[in-house]
Amino acid sequence: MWKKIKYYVSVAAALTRLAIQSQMEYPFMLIGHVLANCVQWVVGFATIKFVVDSFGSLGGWGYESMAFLYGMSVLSHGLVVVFFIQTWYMPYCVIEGEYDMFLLRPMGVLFQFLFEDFNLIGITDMIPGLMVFFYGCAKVHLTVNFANTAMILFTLTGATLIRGAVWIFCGSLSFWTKSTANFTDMVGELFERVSMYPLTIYPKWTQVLFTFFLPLAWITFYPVKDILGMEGSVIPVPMAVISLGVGVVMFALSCGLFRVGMYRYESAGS
Amino acid sequence: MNIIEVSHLVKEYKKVKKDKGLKGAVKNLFVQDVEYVRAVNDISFEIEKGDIVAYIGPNGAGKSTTVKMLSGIMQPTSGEILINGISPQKERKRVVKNLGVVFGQRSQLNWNLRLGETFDLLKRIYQIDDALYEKNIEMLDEIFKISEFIDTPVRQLSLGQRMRGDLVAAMLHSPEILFLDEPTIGLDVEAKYSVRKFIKEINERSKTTIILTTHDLGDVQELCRRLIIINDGKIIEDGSLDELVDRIAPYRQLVIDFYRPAMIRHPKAELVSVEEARAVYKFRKDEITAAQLIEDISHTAPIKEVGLQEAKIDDIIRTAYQQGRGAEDSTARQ
Repeated sequence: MWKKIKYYVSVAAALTRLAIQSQMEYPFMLIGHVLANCVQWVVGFATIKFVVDSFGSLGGWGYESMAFLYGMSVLSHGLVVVFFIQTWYMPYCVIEGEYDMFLLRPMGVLFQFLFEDFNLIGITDMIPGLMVFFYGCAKVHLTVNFANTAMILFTLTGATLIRGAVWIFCGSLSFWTKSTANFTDMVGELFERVSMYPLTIYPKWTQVLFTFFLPLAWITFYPVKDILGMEGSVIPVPMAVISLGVGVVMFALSCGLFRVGMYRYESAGS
Repeated sequence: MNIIEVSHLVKEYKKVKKDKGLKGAVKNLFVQDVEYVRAVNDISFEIEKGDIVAYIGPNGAGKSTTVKMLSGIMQPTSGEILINGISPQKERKRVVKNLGVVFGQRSQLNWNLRLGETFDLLKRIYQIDDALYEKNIEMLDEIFKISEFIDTPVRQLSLGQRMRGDLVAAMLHSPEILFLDEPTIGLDVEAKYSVRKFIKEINERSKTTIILTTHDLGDVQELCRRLIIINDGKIIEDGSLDELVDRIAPYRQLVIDFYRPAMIRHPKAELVSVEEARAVYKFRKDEITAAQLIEDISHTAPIKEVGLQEAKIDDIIRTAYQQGRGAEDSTARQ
């Protein structure tokens, strides 16, 4: 078992290194993305500031806590873009028979697929993410201690897994429908709407939906509420831990769907 | 020993018939005409260890589909495949460890990076230990001469070099079986020649079993001891090229130029045409040799020059394709 993990980690590292090297071949693309993402961040943040300035607070959340929530959201967005953006190309891979190469190698297909295209450019999404995040931390006067750091790391891991799982889930549908681009776009919108703003601004039924059925509220809302110490929860376990758990379960489920879909894979004409 | 065993292999595709125009598109949303097409229709064969087999057939005959099922990429609708006694559908990872596959139309090399990077990655993926890796690289370099361009980014390689790179990549983990899907497609005469030479050498040195699909009959002639022809999803010929030639085109033609116009008949050859001093004879290889025929005729009239015409391999294969189709039609009519 240990040997197997070591094997997979070593291949993952090699794949990542190659992906980074390939992308370094085109340095101007990297610079372009840094600029574009920073602009996007400024606009996004200005929107939030405008909203809070106009309404005072949103669903009981003040400007400071919203800044922190927004920071967490942008940061987890950056992470998922780095690790999982290639899932957007899953329909293309099905139509063009791009999975052939992975099937011919003695390793898991999804594993190879995810690490083959490690997205260095996605790191540019992390820069604004980190800036907003630290700004938010300062605004809520978050104490830097072990517990808080651990909770934030749990939350970010869980958030990345939940978002990644939903993307893999959408991408895997392409084994059945061939084209899922619209669906993926819609889900992307949902992520942002649910994770950037407090869930309490939405109607009750939406809150139930995003808590239990399409658990997007666990990306940021619940764990952040917990970290900021807003209203005591009924469950004795920290929300960040539950987020991580939700992430792991969803990720496992999406991998399962991918495996089932793979049986339907027909490759492409020669 | 049989390294590959295929029995009653079937692959069925669902084909949806689309109606014409906008009206059709709307109708197809609710009602679909689905028909099932058998790309591979009940195929069985065995391949012995160390053999080179050509798997040929016209476009859409089911060649690539078969290779993809053999290598675990696709699931068969029914039937069984055993590679080294293991099913690629049930234990893909174990089977592909022992498989090298090259698709001529597709590359597994990392487009942006130097060729060597892909090799390093494969070394890790196949867990090749350093000593074996060094040994294999050295051997493959001797055959394919890759050290000339191992540090060049793949995107800058010529098609011939890229194909050599792909062949090396497929051979690094010393697989026992090699599937080559149109390995010489698009290559110039020189590159084709060298790729064929390499394939031969690999087979001789490492006793690698090779299955080759191709449209280039030169590949078949130069490389393969055995030929499997598939058409419309069924195997229509299976045997050596010589056998096939003997059966489909048992006749040869002898062209004789006499000094003077002559009309000489021979009991074992048919006189096809006479044009001034040139006569053309058609005879069966198994009834008389060309040498005997020339000798017999030269007793009657002095011969200036002779020429022997074999049936062209292209024509033979085309006849084989048509025969297969004809047989199919006639069974359908019955």
